[in-house]
Parts: sequence; C-alpha cells; structure tokens
Amino acid sequence: MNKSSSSSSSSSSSSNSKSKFISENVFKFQNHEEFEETPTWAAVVTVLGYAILSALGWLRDFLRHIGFEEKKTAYDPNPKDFVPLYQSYECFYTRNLYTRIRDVFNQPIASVAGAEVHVMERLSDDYNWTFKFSGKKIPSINLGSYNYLGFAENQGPCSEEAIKSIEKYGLTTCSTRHELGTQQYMKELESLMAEYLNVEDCIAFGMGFATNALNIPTLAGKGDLILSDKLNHVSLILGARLSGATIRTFDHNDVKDLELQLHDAIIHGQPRTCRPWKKILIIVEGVYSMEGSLCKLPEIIAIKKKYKAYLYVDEAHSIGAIGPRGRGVVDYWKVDPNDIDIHMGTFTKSFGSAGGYIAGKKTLIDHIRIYSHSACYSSSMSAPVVLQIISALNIIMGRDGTNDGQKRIQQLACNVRYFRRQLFDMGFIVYGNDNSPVVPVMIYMPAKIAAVNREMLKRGCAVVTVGFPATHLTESRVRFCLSAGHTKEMLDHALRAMDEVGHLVSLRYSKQNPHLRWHDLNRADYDKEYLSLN
Amino acid sequence: MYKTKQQRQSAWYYPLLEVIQSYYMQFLLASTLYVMEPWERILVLSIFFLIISLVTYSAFIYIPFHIHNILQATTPIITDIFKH
Repeated sequence: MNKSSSSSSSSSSSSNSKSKFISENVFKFQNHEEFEETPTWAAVVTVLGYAILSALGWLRDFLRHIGFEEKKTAYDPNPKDFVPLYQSYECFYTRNLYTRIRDVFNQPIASVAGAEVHVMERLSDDYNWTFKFSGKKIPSINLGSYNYLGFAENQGPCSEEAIKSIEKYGLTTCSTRHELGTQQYMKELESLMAEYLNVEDCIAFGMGFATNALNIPTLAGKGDLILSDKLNHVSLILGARLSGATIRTFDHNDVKDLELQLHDAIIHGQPRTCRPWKKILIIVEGVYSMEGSLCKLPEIIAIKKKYKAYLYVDEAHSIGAIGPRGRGVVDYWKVDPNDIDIHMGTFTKSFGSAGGYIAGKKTLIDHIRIYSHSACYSSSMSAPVVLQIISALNIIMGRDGTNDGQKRIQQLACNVRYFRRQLFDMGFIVYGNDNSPVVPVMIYMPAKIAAVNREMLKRGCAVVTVGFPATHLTESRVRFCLSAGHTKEMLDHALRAMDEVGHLVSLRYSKQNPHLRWHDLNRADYDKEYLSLN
Repeated sequence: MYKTKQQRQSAWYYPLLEVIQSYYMQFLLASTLYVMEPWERILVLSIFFLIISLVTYSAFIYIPFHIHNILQATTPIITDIFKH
C-alpha cells in the first residue's frame, strides 16, 4: 500500500492583492500513505496481557461477589421477580481494565486549550476509584486538541469579534431555525461557507455530531442502500441506523471492495424482493481521525459516476487543515466540488468554534432546511460561536487584509512534515498519510497506554492515548494532533520527550526503519527542510 | 561520606543500575504487572513460579528414567555376544 507520487507544485494566493506570492516549493504534492503491519510478537504479548488481566478481573469480581471485597461501582440489587437491569458482563471491561488506568483519561484542564494547556493534577489513594485534586496545574504542550489552525485562543481578532457580538446580539435566540432562530449572522455564515467551499449553498447546525446523526435520515430512508467505510465515525453510523436504510460496509479505503459491493448491490437489488434500490449513498470521511489516512477521492468519484451513486464526504478533520488553500480534501486532490453531492464538515476543529455544516446544491440544501430534525427541533447557533467562525473564515480567506490565514496553513503543513518525518525516522510505527495533521503512533500493549501518558505528562506534553473500545483490541495508540500554533521549539521538546519515553517504554517497533535516538538523527537535514518551507 | 551527584554518576555501577531499571520497567509493562496492585503482583508472580517449579521438578524426576528406558530398548546388547 505504498504510493508516492510527486506532481507539479501548486502556488496559491488569496483574493487580496496585498498577499505575498508563495514560492513554488511550498506544497509539493507528495501523497504517501503507509500502515506498517503489527509485529507478531507484539500482538501475541498484547493478547496474553489482556488474558492475564481478564483472569485477574474474574478473580476480583468473584471476591466482590462473595463480599470479601467492597463493591465500589453502582450495582443492581437484583430483587426477586424483577428482570435484571444490567448485563454485568458489559461492565466487566470498565470495572476491571479501564478503572486501573482511569487517571489517564478525561483529564480536566484549567486554561484555554491552545498550543499550551494547564492540566490539573489528580491524585488517587484507592487505585483510581476516587480522585482528589492536589491544586497543582501542570503547564504542558497541548498535543491532544484538534486545534489545527491555532484559532483556539482567548486573545486576537476572533475573540474580540465574539465579545462584540455578545454585546450586540446577546447569547441566544431562544428559538429553533424554523421559528424565529434565523439571525442575520446565520445567513452571513452560510453564504460565506458556500463561497469558501465553492458550492451553491450551505446550512449550518449547532452541533457537529448532530449534523451527521440527524441529517442522514433526511437523505436516505427505507429502500435505500448506504455503503459506509468500516472505520467511519460513530455519528455517521448512528445517522445511518436512524435512517432505516440498509447498511453495508466496505474495507477501509479499499476502492476495489467498494466497486465489488456496488456491483453486487445493483445486480441483486434489495434483499428479499430483488427490486432495484431507490438510491445508493456512499459515505466516506476526508481524514480518519484514528488512522490519519486520507480517503482516495478521485477513484471513488470515478466509481460513483460509473454506477450512478451519491457521495457524502465528512470533512470534519480535513476542512481548513488539508490542501494548499485549506479547503479540505477537495482542494488536496483538486477535484471538482460539484462532483461530490453532499459536503459535510464541522467548525469544531480548524475554526476553533462549535457546530457543523452541510453544503451542496441549492435544491439539496432547501430540502434539508425543511426536513432536517436538527433545523426543526434544536435551537439555533449562539452569536459568539458564529462570529468566531466568521472571523476565522475571513482570516483564512485573506479578507481581513493580512496574510495571516495563508501563513497558518503553511505553518501547519511544515509542522506536520517535520514532526512526522522525525518520528518515522526514529523507528516508531506511525500510521497514516504524510500530510495529515493527525499522527497516530502505535503502542499495542495495555500497560503501556498508561505508562506513555504519565511519562509524557511528567515531561510536559499532554497527549491522548487510546485503547480498546475506540480502536481494535491489539492496536492501541497515542495520537498527536498538531497545530499551527506550535513553534519549532515546542515540537523539538515534544520529540525529545517522545524519544525518551520511547526508550523507557520500548515503543520502537518498526522493522523497516532502523531504531535511532533523537541525537542520532542528522539535525541539519530536518532544520534545513523546515526553514526552507517557512 | 556523602558523595555529590556528579561523583555518584561516575561510579562504575550506575550505568548498570540504569540498564537494570530500564529492563525491569519493560518487564512490568509487557507482563501488565505495571497496572496491578501489590497483592495482585505477588499473586500472579507466585502462580507463575509455581507452574514453572512444578514443570522443572517433574522434568528432573522423570526424564532420566525415560532416557534410560529408551537407550536400553534401542542399543544392541554387546555384552551377550562377548559371553558366548
């Protein structure tokens, strides 16, 4: 699955005449995606580790059952003649495995989650069943927030706009979109977003998850077929299930499998009646947040046109962060936006705000305006949230008269390439595309999830480590989210910390690359590349 | 007799101690003893050593007997030829 192609570079300039002409070498189009295979010994040790912990969990449950040990979770008293409320086996994982390393998840923070964040320290006397705050705040580099363009800040033009909007509009409209909730700023946001994406119209909602979950039912229903990628986000799966359509999954980013499924679906029709499907909807994501991979848009579009299906692209993590002008995967692959039927995205990640949008042809958006659950029942977006998005959009598009937007996009691209290259060369297994700002590094073993998080926090880096329910059982990982707000010094500090932690915990699994320490790498090469792109 | 940190670092056994510490940490992580409470660690280690010791004990007792049997059944009996 190793593809590398470099075609000609693209130079871009924003619509403002004062912007600088960007040099030719900046965005050399290199699309290299790699998922190195799990080494067998690591998989075996991981499964054995889970087996030992499960056996121990059974022992502890037995001790709790006979009363030898105190029960610390809420439990069902199971009175006679009543149906049991919980299946105790569902909570087995939570009680016995998750609680042992619970101090590593859901860590509260005490400052704005920008490039640096203050993590509140928690102490536990009884092995993570209860926590106490020690009052200390640990200042650390924030490698966990989806703050791709660095707009999550409490100073600057965006926050000033947001504050002014509270003075002008108050905080809420107290109404839904269908009633009296369509404010002037909503119209401005929607037209600005439609222009940004180069489509006809757009509609915005208050919550990104709800945008998917509540709007897919308006697009598909009983008698339709939804083909969704195996690793799609829960919001897409929930929306698909809520719609009542038949759902089939195809292997992650596997275009041949998708074609096979489409082919079969069209030939055999609906399951029992063999009638033709009313419509077929393919759902993919721009950047998959757990893998860091990009979808193969040109090939999917070719298939979609051949078999006359509809395409829904969820650009939650890619809008603003990918592409030479920050317009998402559409910009990255340079496809025609009219080829994709439904563009969807969120404002939470790159714009530093909250909410989601759906964009496409005017007829589609008019249909959604009337039939969407979200537009009908949920209250409309709040003024400071919308004004933050509008000012962020103005900065990215260059309409405020400065070059700030383009500089942020370039800074993010530089940071991503610098960070990824060094981690890869040190011998870690790093998943995903070379251009994606999401960098998952594999850990595999359950005990190392806790160790990596604690050791990185000791060295001043707040990272997100993910384990079983969010990923495959044997494939736990630490996921770095880079930002345009990170400076080179911060990245160097993070790399040094990762190097030390990788040595302490033994995270260098790669068989393709030699295992090097940070001081073994040739610093001059990486510095030269970073500075030349800047 | 308090040595400064600089002097202690240059003592010959410190690199060795660091290596042992690093191997100990990796052992704890790979066997998931890192997340267990102290009594659980003792329990798991004692069960593990019990199994290992049972296997070793039975190996010591029974293997010589079986090897003697096999050798006796397969090698030709030279002494009988010399007697006649």
